[in-house]
Amino acid sequence: MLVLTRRLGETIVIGDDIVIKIVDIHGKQIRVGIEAPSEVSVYRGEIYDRIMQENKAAVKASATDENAVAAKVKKILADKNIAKAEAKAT
Amino acid sequence: MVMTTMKAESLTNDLAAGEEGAFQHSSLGEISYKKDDLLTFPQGLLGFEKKKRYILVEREACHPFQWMLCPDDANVGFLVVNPLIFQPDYSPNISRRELKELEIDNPQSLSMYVIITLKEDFSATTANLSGPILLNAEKKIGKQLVLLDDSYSTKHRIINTD
Repeated sequence: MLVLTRRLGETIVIGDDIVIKIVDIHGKQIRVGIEAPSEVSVYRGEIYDRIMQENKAAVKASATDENAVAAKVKKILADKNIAKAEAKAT
Repeated sequence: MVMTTMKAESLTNDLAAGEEGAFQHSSLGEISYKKDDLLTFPQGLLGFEKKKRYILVEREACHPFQWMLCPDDANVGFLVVNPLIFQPDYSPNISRRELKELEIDNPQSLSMYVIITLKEDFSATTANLSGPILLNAEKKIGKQLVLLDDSYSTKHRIINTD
């Protein structure tokens, strides 16, 4: 990992078109400004991690026999709350 | 400044119009599809950034849940469902920028799915409401939206125990 020390107002340029700027420092909180092309996604790290982990867990959990998945889905759909909500949605 | 826009068509060029393809998936076996069925996710999914192509597969036994499978990787597949069937008031904040990214002109062409994480005990099964899948059903372009606020959970239990 590249570690740089920056002062308030200073920037970091990544590649051709990403700029990170230290916008404000207030106690332990640092406001970071990010300029990046719209096709580049920018996430808070902990949120990215959470969703990434859940995606991986989801893939793992459904990487099983199709019939086993169908059986679970059947039980889920039989739950009265889902049946009621499904009716409301359709 | 270098422009790095990714065009959706370039990812489906290996199939001519109307052509069909087939692939193996670890759970569902052999899947055949038409080029028109291919969904393109220019940014992939979180943790799966290189998996940019998907096919939605319906299986009557799972309906209304569907499988979203990657034709390029037999081990990548997601069980997805319309979140409204268990959370009728689910309304994540979708910005104009996101709609523009998906090239959505007509709001009717926006489809939304959430990824399901099955559990050993079916009643503990969860849905990721914090990272829904947005799809332009017309142009077959998709992305995983990352909600910036904490209003929804990545592990929402779809069966409420109340």
